[in-house]
Amino acid sequence: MALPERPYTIFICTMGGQGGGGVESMASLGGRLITRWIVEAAHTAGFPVQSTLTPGTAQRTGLSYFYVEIYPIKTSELGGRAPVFRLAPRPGDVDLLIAFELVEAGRALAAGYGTPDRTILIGSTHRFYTIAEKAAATDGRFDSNLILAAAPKETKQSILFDMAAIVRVHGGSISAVSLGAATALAEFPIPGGEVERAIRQSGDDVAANLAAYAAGRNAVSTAADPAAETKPEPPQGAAGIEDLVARIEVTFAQSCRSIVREGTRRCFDYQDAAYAVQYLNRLDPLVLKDRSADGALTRETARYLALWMTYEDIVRVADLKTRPERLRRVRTEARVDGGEIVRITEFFKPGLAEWTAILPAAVARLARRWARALGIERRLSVGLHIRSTAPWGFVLLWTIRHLKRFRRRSLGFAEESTAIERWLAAILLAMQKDPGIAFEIAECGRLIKGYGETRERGYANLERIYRAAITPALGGDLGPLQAVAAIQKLRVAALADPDGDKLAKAEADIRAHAIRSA
Amino acid sequence: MAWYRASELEQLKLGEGQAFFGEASLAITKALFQSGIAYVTGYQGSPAANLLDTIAQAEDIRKELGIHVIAATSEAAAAATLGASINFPLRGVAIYKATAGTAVAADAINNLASAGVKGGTLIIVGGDYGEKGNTGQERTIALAMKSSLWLMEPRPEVATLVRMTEAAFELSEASNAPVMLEFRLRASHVTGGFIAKNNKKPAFARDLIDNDKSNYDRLVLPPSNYLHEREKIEKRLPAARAFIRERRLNEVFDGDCRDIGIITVGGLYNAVASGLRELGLADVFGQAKIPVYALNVTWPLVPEEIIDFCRSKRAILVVEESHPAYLEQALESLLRKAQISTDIVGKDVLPNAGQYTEAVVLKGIAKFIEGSVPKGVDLDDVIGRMKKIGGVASQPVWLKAPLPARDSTFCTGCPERPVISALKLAKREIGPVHISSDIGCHSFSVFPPFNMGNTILGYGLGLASSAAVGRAFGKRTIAVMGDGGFWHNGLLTGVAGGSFNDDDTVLLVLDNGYTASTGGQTLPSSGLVAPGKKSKLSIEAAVRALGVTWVRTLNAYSVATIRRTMVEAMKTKARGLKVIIARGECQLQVQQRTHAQTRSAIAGGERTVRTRFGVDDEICTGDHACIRLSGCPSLSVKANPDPLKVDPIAHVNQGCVGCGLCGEIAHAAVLCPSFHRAEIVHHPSSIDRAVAWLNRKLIGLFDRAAAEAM
Repeated sequence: MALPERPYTIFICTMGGQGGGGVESMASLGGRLITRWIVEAAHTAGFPVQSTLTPGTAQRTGLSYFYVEIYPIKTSELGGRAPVFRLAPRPGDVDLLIAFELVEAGRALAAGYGTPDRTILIGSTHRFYTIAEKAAATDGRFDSNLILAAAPKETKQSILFDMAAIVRVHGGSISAVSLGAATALAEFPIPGGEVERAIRQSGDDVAANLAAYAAGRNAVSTAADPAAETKPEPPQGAAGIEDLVARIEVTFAQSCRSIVREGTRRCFDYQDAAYAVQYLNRLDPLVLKDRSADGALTRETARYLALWMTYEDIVRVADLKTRPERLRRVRTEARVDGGEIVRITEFFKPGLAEWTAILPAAVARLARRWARALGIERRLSVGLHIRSTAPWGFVLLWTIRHLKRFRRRSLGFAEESTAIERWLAAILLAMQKDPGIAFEIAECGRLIKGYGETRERGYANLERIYRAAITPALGGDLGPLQAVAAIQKLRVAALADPDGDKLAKAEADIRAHAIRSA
Repeated sequence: MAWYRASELEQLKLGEGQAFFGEASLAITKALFQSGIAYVTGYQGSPAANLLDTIAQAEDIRKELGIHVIAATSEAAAAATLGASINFPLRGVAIYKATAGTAVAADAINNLASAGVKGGTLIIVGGDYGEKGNTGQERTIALAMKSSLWLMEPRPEVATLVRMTEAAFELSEASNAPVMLEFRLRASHVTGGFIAKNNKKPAFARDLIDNDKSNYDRLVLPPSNYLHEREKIEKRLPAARAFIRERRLNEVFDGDCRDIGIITVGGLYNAVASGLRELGLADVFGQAKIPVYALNVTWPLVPEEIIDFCRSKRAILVVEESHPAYLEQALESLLRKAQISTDIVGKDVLPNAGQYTEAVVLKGIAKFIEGSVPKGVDLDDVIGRMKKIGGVASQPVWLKAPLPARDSTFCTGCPERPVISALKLAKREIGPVHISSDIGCHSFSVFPPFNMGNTILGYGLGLASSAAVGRAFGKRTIAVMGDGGFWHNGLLTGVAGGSFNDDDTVLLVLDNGYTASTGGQTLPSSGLVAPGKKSKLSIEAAVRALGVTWVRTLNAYSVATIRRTMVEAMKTKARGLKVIIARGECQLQVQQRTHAQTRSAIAGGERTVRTRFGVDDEICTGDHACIRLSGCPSLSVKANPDPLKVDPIAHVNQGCVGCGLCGEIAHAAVLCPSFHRAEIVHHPSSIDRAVAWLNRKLIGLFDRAAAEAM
């Protein structure tokens, strides 16, 4: 009998804490379960097998790797000879590549562990974002499509599906799901029955893991081509703004309508019908002059104008926190199925700026001046724990929510309106010079978001961009091409780095450039 | 932390002739029990901690065999414990991490190696050069060479590891020298089988010990140490070499090809054998055309064996990682003196620096074969195979943006994370500050999103390493230390030193009750943090006893308080060492203790309150400032459900343990009101239900729809 020249090699790429599912998985290594099950099944079936792993500091987080080699001929038929197994995979020599997460699949492929003539990839499409991706002040997420597109080309066969979703349904672990998928392969050297027995005998959350295993096995035949998530379309409904829908249809290009409709709805929901009308009125002058190909300028202005006009003051927050759909969602996320009582505590820490923003302008200005004179600005921000499911807490939020009717007279409203008008005026003025500049100014609306320090920082950044690029551009001191480049560069820098170092560098670059050109 | 299941631990009881199958660490533990050891000591560190934990778990076997276990407070203490085998014929083992551990233990090891031993003395060092080593470029062999103790790195196959562990005791006794047995990270977890023997009770006669008198020639003082030097060279080394030869501890895997060969350290044998297989020069069972000499004992070398292996060969490849190439140099000198002209090829075809991965070894062997043109080898075939294997592209074309790094970080609910968050917030007030980091979970503060920490000098050395910085920096510095590092040596090198020198420095001690990063082993102050532990030495009392008066012990989760205290410590007029102890039990241990209980309580219908945090989708604006201050694995992002908003929003996933950090940060940093805490009362009592009903009725008076949604 001709014996196989090489063992069957399995490389399992995981993250710490992915092993057992649930909270206890914090302590378990990513692929410990699957590795154990494979080794135990192979050993019981009589095949020579060996596994290794690298936990290191990845016991809890970070990465952990597992590697298994199986010689697909039973020990009893080898006449006392034992294969020499590797302790680590060699790129290019992996038969089965299992990845517990999409970027980890990508990492393995990038390192050459997939080969088109040999490797079958079984990977989960779900994302567990890295710190860098999460911490970006905007959208730092890696483009999943790069991996989804590369996987079929870099491997013989690529089986990608959302294993985390299966675990959410069945419990158990990604270990079980991916092992189920592996045993469905014709190439996998151990019979499925043997694997199931290993799971059963391990005592590791057996019922749930067997269910997850079965689901993984089925997923191979049913897995559709994975697609990256897409941005949800705004709802078509127009409750409350029925009267304005016709106006939107007539005024705006097709490409803008859904955003404008949502913006209008949002302003109505935020304040009242008059406010929704004001929103459309503010957009009117733009529409007439917008000559951009697909109405992008109007669309993006409409987007950021709606968000800016519905800035989150204490009143808005109290309003959103006490809505039935929100209260229901908290219950859903807490995974309660009926009988449980859910108590919700809100974390509020409004500072002087937030409190005074909802006061009438004159009173608010006075209060701010006093606080500054007394030097108690910082001390006025008090952390509140509001129990919104208890009467006193709810009534407090309910009362604040009803201050909505006084909002138009508040200092915050006045300040935001002034800033909005300045921004819109700049866009309009820029449109006369160059649509490119106008578009870049419109995009700067993205800088204004958040509360407290975040919002202050956004305003400060916008001010710096006005000073460094927008004002010079509108005044004719900066040519259109340079202006577009400068605004874009500053905006990207401001969004990329909350500490402001990148923005400062971008400013310096632009100054240096201006001096050189002069 | 239990690494092995109870059923796996049962294998430690196997008797003569029974088959064992499992991980190497478990197998080596079994080998120790089969060797009649009298005592075992050690200090935790990956991957050696695994072995220590296993021995700790096997309490019944230990008791039955009468093995004494000493929990050392550092590797130095562990190595010193081996002093028991200098005068007495006791077999003993010290276990710790290489090369950090051997460095800490060097003083004791030097003296132990000088005095020599009567009883078999084994130092098991986990990890060495390369993968996941803290000081990856260090190698234990240097210590073996300079101090004349022996180093074994058996080829990573379980039966061989077991055989070599048992032989190590005999080698030690035959040559009166301590032996270091090294296994790397992957080798410690490699699975395999062997045929067991009975466990053995320590074999020593009481009267032998009673009658043994103190003798001056075993003390490392002049003139005995001159005697030791001669003993090392004239007696112990030849005895060791003879034993290694007799017992065939090194292995020759012969092949047809007569004119070339490969000498490899045991730990890399599998990579060599697989490399030869891929080049068509060996079968899957390691039967190679090219003879391979595997050094299970990497020090000392046995000249006779080497000469035998090399004599008839034109060229030899030496597979030994890193620089300097000690073995390559030793072989050169040995062969030249024996007037054998065999070419020694090593770093010519293999890299000077970097891990010898499978791909690297394969490439090195191919180059060696190509260059040495051995008789009877089809060179075209080898070259053809290598060409087909090819190299790995450094940057694949499809990868248009670099993949995000996945650095290690604090666990969900970790009590150290809030302290580091507070430090990050405090930096806003105190400005740039020099932070001396240390070894432990808190080392993760150097990774995003914190990026804090200027130096790491060693375990417990955080404070000592900042001693000269403050004055140069013109500002107080902050040293961070864990409770593990504190007891390991930070108390003396740091606190006593700082107090002695009147250092105007701030020390932040993260007191989580365990050496958490090595798997949650108990330490002297565990009992003050973790329930049910006996060890109750107080860090605060120790610090005060050393003359520190400015001491604050705080709850690790109170971000605002810690922030305030940090600022106060940096700004106060009080001079001298200022110590802040942030206390909170390791969440991993808490969860292990309580999670199963909570689950079974819920399943069993008991009233149970579970806490989790959440973020309100509509209120979160997607700035992620909270993530930059927390970095919790459970605090992630998700696509923004709002069609107007572009940036993803924060999101608390199902891993949340409700530690409270999100709320603390939202408050301390004046962040945003989108965080909420949900307390879920499972199987509520009738009082719970009555209160909830009343609440809903009252709220319903104002807003019926909201009340119904609660």
